[in-house]
Amino acid sequence: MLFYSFFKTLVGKPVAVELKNGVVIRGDLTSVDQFTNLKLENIQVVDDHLYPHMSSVSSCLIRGSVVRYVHLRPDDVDCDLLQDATRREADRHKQEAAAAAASAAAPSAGRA
Amino acid sequence: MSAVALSTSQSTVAFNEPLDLLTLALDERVRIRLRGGRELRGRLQAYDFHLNCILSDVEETVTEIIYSEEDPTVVVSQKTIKNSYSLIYVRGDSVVVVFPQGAESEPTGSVVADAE
Amino acid sequence: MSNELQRLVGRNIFVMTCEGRVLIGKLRGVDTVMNLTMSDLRERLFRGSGLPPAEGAGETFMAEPAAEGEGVEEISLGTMVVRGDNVAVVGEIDEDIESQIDWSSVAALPLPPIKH
Repeated sequence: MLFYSFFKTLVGKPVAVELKNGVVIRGDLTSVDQFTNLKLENIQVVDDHLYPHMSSVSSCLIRGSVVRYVHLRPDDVDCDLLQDATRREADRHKQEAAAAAASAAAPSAGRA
Repeated sequence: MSAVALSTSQSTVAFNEPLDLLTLALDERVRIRLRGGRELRGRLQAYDFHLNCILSDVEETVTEIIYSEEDPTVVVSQKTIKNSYSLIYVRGDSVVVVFPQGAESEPTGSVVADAE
Repeated sequence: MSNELQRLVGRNIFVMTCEGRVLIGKLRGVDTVMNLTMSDLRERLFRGSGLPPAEGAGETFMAEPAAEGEGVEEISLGTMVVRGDNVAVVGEIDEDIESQIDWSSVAALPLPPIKH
């Protein structure tokens, strides 16, 4: 959920999405979902002389699974906040794993 | 008994999971090997358990190897392209290996050499 | 996100598949896994003569005005369901721009397939 929340903070900002086939699509991020599918508006394909395929497309939805990179502007991102959020997410993930392990261990201990 | 199990699971949780290494690597330079002969060096700003990452001050090295059509074990040509990016999100499904503290080690040059 | 696509039902849309194919047609329906029902579906074949990447080794090729037999060809496929897994990008077509493009005079290489 970390990156879902992260991309939500970038809504309205320009990004460049590099797909796993090398096509790079620039545009303004307008929405994101929990699969990190990204919706861009006012899109422009980088190297559009090579890739004129999308020249009549004004806005598009990119499936999260076909994304290789998302190029970001450093000014749009607070890296300290990101690092804190990452640590919190890692802690939360561990606590959930510990709770699951404890509840899995409890019934067998009861029988013993 | 259940107390033991609980404390065991908690100590496991304390510092033994693979991704704990990445917590230590936050705000440090790391080297990430990706699918398709790509390698990234950059400062780790964020990650999750899918290995989605955010890196800053990134140098990307793309190694393209072309093998002979007659003998696919023979390398016909190899070339490397370098790019730099100030800040990128990397989708975790392309990540193969993460080397914490690996950014300053010797460049591997070729994927082939590295596999040996 | 499927409501984003729901909004496009009844409109002419662009689909890039994971194989790099380009499909154009009217969106009839979508579901939660991005399966698309499309009518009046056409596949746009890009037949530019730039050398294939293996031989050209990453050289860039300008999309020249189409030579004989190199322009975009459209094949009608009727009504079809496109499986969500194979959908890479769904685009909203700007009809004003679309009507100004003479696709038969556009020469470009096919899009590379998505490599996971």
